[in-house]
Amino acid sequence: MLSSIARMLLTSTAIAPVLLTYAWVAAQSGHGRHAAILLGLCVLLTILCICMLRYAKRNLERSKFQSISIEAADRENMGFLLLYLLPLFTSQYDSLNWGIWLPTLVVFALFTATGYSYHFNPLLGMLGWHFYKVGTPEGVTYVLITKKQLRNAASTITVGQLTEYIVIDVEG
Amino acid sequence: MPMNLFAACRDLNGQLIAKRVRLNANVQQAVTALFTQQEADFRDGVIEETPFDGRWTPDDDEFLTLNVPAEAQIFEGAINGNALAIKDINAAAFSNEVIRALFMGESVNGSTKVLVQRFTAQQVLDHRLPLILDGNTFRRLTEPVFTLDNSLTCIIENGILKFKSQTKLRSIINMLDIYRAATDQETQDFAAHANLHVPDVAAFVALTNQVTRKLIHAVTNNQTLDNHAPDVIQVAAAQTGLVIDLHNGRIVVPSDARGVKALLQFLNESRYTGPLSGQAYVTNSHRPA
Repeated sequence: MLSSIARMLLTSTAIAPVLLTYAWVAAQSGHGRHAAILLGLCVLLTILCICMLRYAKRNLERSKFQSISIEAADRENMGFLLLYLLPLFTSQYDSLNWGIWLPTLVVFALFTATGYSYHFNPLLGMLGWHFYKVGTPEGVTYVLITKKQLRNAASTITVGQLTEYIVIDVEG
Repeated sequence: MPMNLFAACRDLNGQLIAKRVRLNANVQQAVTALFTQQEADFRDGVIEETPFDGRWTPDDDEFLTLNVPAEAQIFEGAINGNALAIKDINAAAFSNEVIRALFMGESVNGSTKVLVQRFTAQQVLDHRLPLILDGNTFRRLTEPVFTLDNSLTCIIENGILKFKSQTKLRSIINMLDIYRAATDQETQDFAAHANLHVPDVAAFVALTNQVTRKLIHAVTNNQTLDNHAPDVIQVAAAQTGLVIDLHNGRIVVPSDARGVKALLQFLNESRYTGPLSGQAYVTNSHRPA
């Protein structure tokens, strides 16, 4: 499994797209420098996300994974989309209350990193990964992150374990 | 495809359970390669598989085989299921886990193969003050450390357990009942020997344990009872302080475990008298002088 630091890093990449929105809002308000910094941070987090996935695929122990049921879970990203769009409802970039926004984002990242929910990372979706809730013969449901389009629950795939209940397809 | 590493541990109730030993990808590949090599070594030169008959070691070109005992079914169960569903070994308290074996395996087209190494306390290096080079000095390694064995103990394939050493195998699974079942016939045949008088064969079979059955096997192989008359044996036994009764010219087998063991030890030439002191001794060694 990934270490807690690696999980935190991967989680933080989930907020990359929201920085795009803030960059847009900042640019519209004439804060070009802020917009550039936010944009740069967004790119940095995206690169970090790609590196973390490569690290996971290269270093995680491989296991054969058998499933008995598959359900697409990409729609869980809708909550994140709301978060990304929130800044657009703010009238002016200057009126953003950073004293509240920043700690809120940090707490948000902490919750998603320490819980079992950080897989809902839309950035991964933008990079071509899909999320599936996968039931196993042992009666446990895992979230599988894969680039494949799964159409048959009977097929066996090779995975690495990101967290207790999240696995990533290391062949895809 | 790299295989997952599991440990077979005894829980508090004495049951054998499988636990997962997590590795990173590089170590997983190395351990898989090691087990695969050990499998090739284990099979090297073996041309025959013989059902277990109580022997402790088979011939060099033989495997002894057993139908997988109930408690050993956890091995195939762990390989056939999702590795993720297996509880992890407690890495922080590794030396407290009662590990009996480490194993890997694979299931291909419904055919399951498990490669099993036994695990002994000597492999837990925490007990042995391990030192590791740190700069130009050695420091004590405080993290949990263990080593892998240098050979397999058994292979389980499609419900059949194949092994070469009963001594090694019994450190993993309980062989008492298996050994008894495998040697019941030999024990009954021994009791029926023309030079022995066993009043109650069933009671005699129930009385014998792993040690006495091992002696019965040795005495049968040595043909002691075929080559020496009961009265000769009686006289020789008396010289070591062992009293043997005869009934109709046959040796009376005692009805107590201690007496049976003493008689068998004598028949196996494991009991003798010191030539100077005249003291009776028992020995395990049969090294010719």
